[in-house]
Amino acid sequence: MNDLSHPAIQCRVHLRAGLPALGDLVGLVPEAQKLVDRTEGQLRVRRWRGPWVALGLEKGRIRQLREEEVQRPLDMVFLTDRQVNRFFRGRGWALPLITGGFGHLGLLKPLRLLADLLKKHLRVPDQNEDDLAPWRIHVQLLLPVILRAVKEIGEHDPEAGAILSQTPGGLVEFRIGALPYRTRIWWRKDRRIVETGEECASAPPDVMITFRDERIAAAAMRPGFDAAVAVGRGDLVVRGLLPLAEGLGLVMDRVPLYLESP
Amino acid sequence: MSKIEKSLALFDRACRVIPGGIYGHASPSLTVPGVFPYYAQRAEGCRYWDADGREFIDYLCGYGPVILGYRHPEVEEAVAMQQKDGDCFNHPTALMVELAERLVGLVDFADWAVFGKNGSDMTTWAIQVAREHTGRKKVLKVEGAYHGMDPWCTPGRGGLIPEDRQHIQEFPWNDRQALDDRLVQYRDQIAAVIVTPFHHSIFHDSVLPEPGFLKHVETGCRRDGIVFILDDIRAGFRLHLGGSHRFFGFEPDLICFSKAMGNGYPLSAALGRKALHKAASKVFLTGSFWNGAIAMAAALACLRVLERDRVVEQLRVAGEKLGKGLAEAARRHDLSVRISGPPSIPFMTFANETNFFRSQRFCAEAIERGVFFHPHHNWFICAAHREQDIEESLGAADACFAVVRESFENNRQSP
Repeated sequence: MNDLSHPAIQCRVHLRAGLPALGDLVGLVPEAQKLVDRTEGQLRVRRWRGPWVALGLEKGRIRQLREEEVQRPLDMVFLTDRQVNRFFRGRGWALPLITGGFGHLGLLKPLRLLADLLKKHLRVPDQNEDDLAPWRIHVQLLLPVILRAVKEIGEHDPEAGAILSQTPGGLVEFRIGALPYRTRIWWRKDRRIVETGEECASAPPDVMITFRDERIAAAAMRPGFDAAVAVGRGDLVVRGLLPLAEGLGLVMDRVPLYLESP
Repeated sequence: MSKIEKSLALFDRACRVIPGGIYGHASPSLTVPGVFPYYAQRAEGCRYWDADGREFIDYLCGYGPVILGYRHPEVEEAVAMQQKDGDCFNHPTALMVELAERLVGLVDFADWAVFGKNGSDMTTWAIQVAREHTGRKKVLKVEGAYHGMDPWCTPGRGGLIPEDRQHIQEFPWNDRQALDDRLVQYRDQIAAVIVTPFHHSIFHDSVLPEPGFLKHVETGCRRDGIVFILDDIRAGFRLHLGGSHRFFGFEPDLICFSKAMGNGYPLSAALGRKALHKAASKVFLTGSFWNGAIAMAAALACLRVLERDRVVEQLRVAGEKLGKGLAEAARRHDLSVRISGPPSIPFMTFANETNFFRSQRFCAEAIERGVFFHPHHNWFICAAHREQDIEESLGAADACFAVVRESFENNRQSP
């Protein structure tokens, strides 16, 4: 773990927590899937001499690539952390330099449309919306973003680091009502790193956190959510190693410092 | 309909006017919410009833204060007598003098006593006395030890600033070398070392001191002119009437009591040796309700009963019976449990489990069968736990172990 400045952490959050959500979006929303149905290629977005994320578009899916899988991507480079942050916040003028993969410039249009769709689904659905489908998409997109953000914040934010140093290590599994959906986050205390995603560990979880339903899950991911009240009411069920849930919850509370609501 | 309909309705009302609904150690989030009680209605002996009318054999005893049993007749009689005269006055009553004399007579090294309402009042004050006496700033405490809710030691994080803990250093329980390293590192800077008589940290097994560990702490403190503070708030009067240091064979300079002293009536005390008398008189200590006569009347009656009825021994016997019975019942179901801590302050966890899934399931099932075992916090035995109560509890536990066995069959690690 190494402490970084706020802009540097925010840059990591935008790149590594936000961008991979495009892959989740394509898996959840048919309209998004159609945009990349016949699109193939690789995209890498990075800060010059800094953090990066690479996405592969293939067979109607988008997935995050490991370093060894990256081959001649459309390479988008920002010079500074602040440029990355301005770009993702949509404020100010900040465009990346394209330094390679010019043959994949055609990816830009579908990616732009996907980004707009992602923003739309990351916004909280209308509270009067009875149909749970938009809520379902919203939380299944937002929760992994938040957990990936927890990884970056946990590993680089000094306050989060202090919290995690007092938090037992272990694996947390999140569920939503009776949905088959689940996702995980793993605080590997011995190695002082955080891993995320359903595949992050095949071991049984140390904590299971279940939101009563999609609306509660959505509320839980907004600032001001009172977890103690929710637990008391049964809207949030937490079983297992409670100190692990509490510690990660405190780090999750720091996500809004780095990630604005769309 | 939920079995805790009334409790949930109360909680719902509470959430509108009380932060968190129920805060602190009584928060439902620390037990098994939706199953465990939320609100108490009344109690008697070793049992209490929640707001939904459910009855429980209680192994938490108000988190320790109820050592004789709820509403012990002699304590209640003393309280009723005093109530006729009043409680909160402009001044203390003669009961304060009587209680101070009584406690100083009980605790071998002590020459004086002061009083408050909660354990935190005394531990924080004791730290200040140590700083006043030594002119030093640093305090050593054990990692994970609980000494109350003040900023220097609270387990919470909200509202803290780095300066709150600037002079607080920690060392692992039972680690002589780590303690010695701290004593060397901060030579001539340490005002106090504060310890509990055994390590009783929530979400962990209790750990007794290794032979000689606390004597080693004492020796180091004497050598380096450090005030040795014993936080006997949780264990006080349960292991030895004269303080838990008598049970484990060492001697502190200051001892803090609360919980069991008044059998549930709110009172805390700190006692110290003569050398600290001057420093103690210089550290401001007060509270509107701290001289309250009713709690002191309760404490005098409680101490009388504790001594007369040899309650410490009763608690040990009852606790041993419970612990042994639980271990045997678990074995019958091919389960293995750990019973940690002294018999009168036991805690049960499942062997090979650090995430408390089985403990939570076991305790939730016990609640359904009218027995209150806390899944994460050490338990307490009281003098009102009679043989038939222990037997009834073990009968319920047997059924709970059967459920745990089935739920976690084939060594499944989570429910």
